[in-house]
Amino acid sequence: MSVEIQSLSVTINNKNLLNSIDLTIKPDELTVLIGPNGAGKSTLLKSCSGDILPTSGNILINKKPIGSFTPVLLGKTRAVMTQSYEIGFGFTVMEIVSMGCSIYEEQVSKLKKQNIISEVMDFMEIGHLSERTFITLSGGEQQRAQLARVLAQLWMPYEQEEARYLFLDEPTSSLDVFHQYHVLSLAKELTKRNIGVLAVIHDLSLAASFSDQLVLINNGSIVTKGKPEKVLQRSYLENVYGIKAEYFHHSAGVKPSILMDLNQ
Amino acid sequence: MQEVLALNKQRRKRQIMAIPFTLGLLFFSALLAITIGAVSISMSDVLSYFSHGFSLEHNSLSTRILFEIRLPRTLLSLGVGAALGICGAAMQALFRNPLADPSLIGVAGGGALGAVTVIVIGDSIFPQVMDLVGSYALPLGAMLGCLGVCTIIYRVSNRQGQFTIITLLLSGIAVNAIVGSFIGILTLVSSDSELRELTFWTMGNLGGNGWSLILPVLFLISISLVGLSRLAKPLNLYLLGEAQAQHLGVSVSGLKKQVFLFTAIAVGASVSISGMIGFVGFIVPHLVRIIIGPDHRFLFPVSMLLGASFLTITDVIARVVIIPAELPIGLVTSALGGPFFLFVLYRQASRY
Repeated sequence: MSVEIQSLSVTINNKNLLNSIDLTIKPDELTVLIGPNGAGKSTLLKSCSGDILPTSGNILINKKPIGSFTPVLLGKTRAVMTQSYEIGFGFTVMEIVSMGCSIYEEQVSKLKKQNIISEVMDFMEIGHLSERTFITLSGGEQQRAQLARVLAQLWMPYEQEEARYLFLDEPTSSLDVFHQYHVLSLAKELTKRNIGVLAVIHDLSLAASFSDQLVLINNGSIVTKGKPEKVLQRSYLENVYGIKAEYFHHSAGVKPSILMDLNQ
Repeated sequence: MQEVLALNKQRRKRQIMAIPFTLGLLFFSALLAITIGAVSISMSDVLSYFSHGFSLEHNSLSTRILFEIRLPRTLLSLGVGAALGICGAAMQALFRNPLADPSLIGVAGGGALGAVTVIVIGDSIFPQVMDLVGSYALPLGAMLGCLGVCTIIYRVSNRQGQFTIITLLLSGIAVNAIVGSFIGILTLVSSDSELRELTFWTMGNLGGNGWSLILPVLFLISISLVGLSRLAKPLNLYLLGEAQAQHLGVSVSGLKKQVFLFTAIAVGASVSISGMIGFVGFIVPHLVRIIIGPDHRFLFPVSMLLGASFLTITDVIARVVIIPAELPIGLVTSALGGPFFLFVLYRQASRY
């Protein structure tokens, strides 16, 4: 059980966005994609979500090719948080979050659904916003509301045999420090419930702190992948990002971080 | 959890109250439409005609007015109003913009072109087909016209799976201009009796139709009302964004095609018999959304009921305001809807 990406290439309008990517996303791991702007992180995430079809190569979800999934089955197997979202009309936060339950709505009681909605809203600390119109929220609050909706999609059944997946495209971009850590701790928690997580994150220290597998992408290809201390080496950082920096883990009691050299 | 429930109580309450309220309004407007007119029929007469009407011969003047003029016209105005209300709501969802309306984006115009084509050159060009479909020829022609325009709009304004409202409204202007010129050409080549018939379409009129034309139209409208109502839940998800809806298990391309198809059927059927009635599909869902919010599970039925009542009351106004003559209903709805559209546009523009 895993998402197997086998020599995946994606070409759109004669532009090579991804070149023969090989990657496995395991259900008990938090996999984090890092890389400079335009490296192909979002394209890879969209391919795994089923939004973009592979030009060549395969994506297997739980050993079945992604193309063989119906929209409903795919909706039961994975949830996706996109980078941007536009809500046309004045839905309340509550209404937005409850849409996450749509895939299993018929199978649960009204009360159960209400419980799930208030659980995920409490988790994202947006209970007090529930009657507000989504478009009147701040950027960070909008992001938390969308995260709550995406979580609701995977909240039922609480545990299941078949592995499921959560794809997050920059879930922390508008969040304050507390909520950044909160969201990623939650993502890590989900991996214990047979939900594999693939997230795109720009903050290298944050990525290093939470990822089980870190994947560095540049120009549509994987540069290196593995444990954070192996990926965030000085040479890779210099070649890919053009920064001089050091991976630094002071002790077991603190999170690792990336320290930039004074002279760049 | 109790808190969460309480906070959303107000909108929930309005959502639940809206359906009985608009249903009451619907009965009230139907009653008005049946009793008021050049010859007024009292309430007690209507009741006694209905209780005995189907067993008696319809000889007296007022029973004939009731069963052959008022009743079909009322049912038609209810059906067309319901169709325009729900189709407006569906189109606005599809384009994620409250400015979309079947008449503004040219769908109704396409229907009018189809209908006019059938009237003017149908008999001379496809005589066998016309014989075969009989009284359905007009609604069919209008529907094909609507479908044609829907296909064009779909192709033009669909960019990488996203609809853009600017191309939509601009293509609506172009389609309406093309349709207008074709209708003009057909008007030129039409005979006197065809010309009389044509006038119905350009200004919108619910009168003068017998049961044989109204029943097929009502049948087609009911098909698409049922079809669109079934799409309420996926359309809610669609408003999160196309990719987001797909992520939640909605087959987005199938959904879009169904909305276009059912809208074309309902608008085509309506236009074929009542002509161009603008702005109903814009005003009604807009007002409903302000009161009960955008959830289509409530927006659809309430827009349907309110649209039916709105058009019926408007038709009563059109009938009585210059007795014994009649005002074309399209003029009334446009006179009311135009300023409202400008107001909404102004409010939208001032937000940016």
